[in-house]
Amino acid sequence: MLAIEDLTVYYRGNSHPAVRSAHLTVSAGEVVAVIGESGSGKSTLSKAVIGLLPKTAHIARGRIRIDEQDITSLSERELVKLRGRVIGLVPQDPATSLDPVQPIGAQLTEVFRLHPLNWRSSRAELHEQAAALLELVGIDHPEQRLRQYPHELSGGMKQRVLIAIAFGLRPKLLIADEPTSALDVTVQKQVLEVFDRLAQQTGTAVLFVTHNLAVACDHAQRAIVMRDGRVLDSGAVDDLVVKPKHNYTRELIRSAFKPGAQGERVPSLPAEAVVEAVGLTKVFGHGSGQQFKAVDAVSFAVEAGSTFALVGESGSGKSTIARLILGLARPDAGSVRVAGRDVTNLAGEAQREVWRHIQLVHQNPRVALDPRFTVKQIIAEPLNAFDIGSRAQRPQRIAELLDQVGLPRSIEQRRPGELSGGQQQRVAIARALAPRPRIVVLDEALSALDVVTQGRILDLLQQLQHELNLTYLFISHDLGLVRSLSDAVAVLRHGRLIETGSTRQVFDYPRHAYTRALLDATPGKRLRQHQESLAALAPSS
Amino acid sequence: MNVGPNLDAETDAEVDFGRSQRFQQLPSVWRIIIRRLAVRRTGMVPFTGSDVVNTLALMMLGVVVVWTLVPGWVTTHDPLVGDTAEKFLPPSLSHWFGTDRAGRDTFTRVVHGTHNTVFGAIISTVIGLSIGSTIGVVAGVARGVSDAVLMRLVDVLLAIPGFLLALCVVSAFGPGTAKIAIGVGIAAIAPFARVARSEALRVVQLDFVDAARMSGAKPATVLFRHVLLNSAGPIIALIPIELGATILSIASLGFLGYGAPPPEPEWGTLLSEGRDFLARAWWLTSLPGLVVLCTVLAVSHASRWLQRQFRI
Repeated sequence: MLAIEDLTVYYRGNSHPAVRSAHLTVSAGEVVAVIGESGSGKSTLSKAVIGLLPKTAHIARGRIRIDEQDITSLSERELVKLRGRVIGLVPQDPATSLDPVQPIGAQLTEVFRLHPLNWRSSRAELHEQAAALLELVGIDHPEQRLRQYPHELSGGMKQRVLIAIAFGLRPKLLIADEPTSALDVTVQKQVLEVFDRLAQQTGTAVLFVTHNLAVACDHAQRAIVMRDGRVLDSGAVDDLVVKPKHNYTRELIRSAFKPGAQGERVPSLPAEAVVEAVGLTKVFGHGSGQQFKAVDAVSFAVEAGSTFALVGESGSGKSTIARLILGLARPDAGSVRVAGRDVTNLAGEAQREVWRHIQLVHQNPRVALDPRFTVKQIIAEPLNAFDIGSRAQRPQRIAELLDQVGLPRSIEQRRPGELSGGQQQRVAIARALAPRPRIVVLDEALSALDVVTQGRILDLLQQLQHELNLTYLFISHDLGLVRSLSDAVAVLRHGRLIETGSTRQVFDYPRHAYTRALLDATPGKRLRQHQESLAALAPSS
Repeated sequence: MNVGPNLDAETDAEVDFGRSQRFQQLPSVWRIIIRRLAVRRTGMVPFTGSDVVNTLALMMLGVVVVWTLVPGWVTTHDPLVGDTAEKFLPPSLSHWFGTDRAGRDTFTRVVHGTHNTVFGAIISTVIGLSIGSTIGVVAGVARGVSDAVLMRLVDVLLAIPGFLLALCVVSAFGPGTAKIAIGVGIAAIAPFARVARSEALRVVQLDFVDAARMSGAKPATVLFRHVLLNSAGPIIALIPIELGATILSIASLGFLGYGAPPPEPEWGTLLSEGRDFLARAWWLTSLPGLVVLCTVLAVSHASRWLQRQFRI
């Protein structure tokens, strides 16, 4: 169906090719995954297939064949005829890919109107076809949904509408560029099942681009691994997992399935609770007098030196709880105690004092660091503001912090825009550690990073916790990360605390049905089964 | 001579530069210099079809800057005292813009008058920029009551036509270039405040502002070092727009007679002096008017280009 031979793509201004000698084949009814980090060339590859490369890119070598037709050198006009009819593209971000001022029905039928078949269908027929499409992708009440606008749908439903639009004319090839990276775990599972179903039932070839090896393993039959433009490994997914040929693939597999932290921490005497939340409630008013309970009577306690994780999907209130604990928002009811002192509803100078003891690492380091400051100024800011050490000692302290987070000292003069995601996050961690806090809140601190970088920062965090005896409050939706970093877990849903306990207890013996559903939906089952069977065979070390 | 795709190009402008026929013919040394300095820095390809106007605008602005700073270099005649035997001479090679009724060279007067007008415009813009941006950023960060009060004040300034406001100030405090400049500057506060507030509203939501607060920075520090500096882009792009408008306002007020007292040259007063002799000596009004026109057009074109760079 799709055959890419020796494809090489250059972007203007780079002598290094974005894609180098890529080979790939996808047959009808098959799901093939392209796995790689950002910058590996996977998106360039998918854009080249559908002919949406920017003006500054050109194909230096190679052929792309769709159904034996060579499309590498087709003009824009001929490519337009292919798009939608022969090749469909499911874009990445459902939040921004739908026109917000048109109802869903209009956007679905647009595909039919743009590529009219032999006869011109009437509005009623188009309506029926659109409703049938929505049913195919698993959206309930299709007739009602056709009249709704994108903002009335959830993220998962929007993504399914995008799949329906791409699939509308029954293309032979469907390209999905990171279709589920912006979605929650349970929703992700449903959306990926749609792809599986489409491939099986209608014989469409699906080309899946992702950075998540676990997702690829669960849903693809074959996969290729890309790095720096080259295809490192390719073959059936089972073969890749069991017998990875390349070191990088092995590293990816290892990062995708992170080892548990149980057994690393010596259970000590029950330590004092260093963060306590009692009956926290936060209500937001919106619309006409309607109220939305973001956090509903949540109580938990974090022991000194341990890692406590707050787990939940988007909308569960975990970020709001983090802001309440840090004092960035005021609770409507309940109290927060940090290091034994009541810190609820403080203002001004008193609030500043609290921030000497508890600090925050944000999710997206790109917006958490002032783009106009150099790294040195960023780390020096808390030192100057909290008046830590004498002025002469501060440069030394900055150098110490950079060493601790594993960054070279030469990085001091660079700006955040010149650093990679992992380096930026390290700078953010160094800034958080500057006032020597006892508690660090990690608000999805690893979610915006690549899988391999996640593994490295995770190691760094564990090392720092060990060296400095830090307490972490780890907020995340990624259960794999939570399992490897935390000692105790609390599961949140719609602002309520569903279940809480030690990591082993919650993950291995979940009591609540929702927790079980969450654990079930985590991608990477095949990987885990494989790892478990390996562990069962090998003698334990 | 076909040069082929330029793999070294970093921007779309460089791609166009590489394709342009006119540049293929220059020796390669010149091509490299133009490419590195002019094209890469400014994103413009000088002297090609799409960028002729941009180049002209920049040249005009350059000329005006030279006239403002060093008028003595450009002309040798005296702007204040003239030879009455030479009055009302039409434009010629020795007097480019002709002479006026006192025999003074009009071109020299235009060049020396640039100083008054443009400096006045710069003062107004600086007043508008500093006060307006501060009001806007404080309103955007503080929200709530302070935001409402400050923005209503700005609405009052917007409701009064800028020209009228400047006239009121000048009537109250007397004529003179400095007083016109202050009046026009007060009117220029409103657009800066609006733009600064909308940028501040966007920037204040970004995580690094919260992070700066949590790093212990005092509210004033957060405001100036973090919010204001990061909101600067669109504010800077607004400066040439306001500069063009203030040049026009100051020239108009000078035309009405509120500007510098004679014999001090100033664009507006030059226009009004020549008005009486329009039939006899058209060059006294038209040519200085043309200069004003070209300057304001050049400034507004530069502002549109800056807007595109900063994407307002």
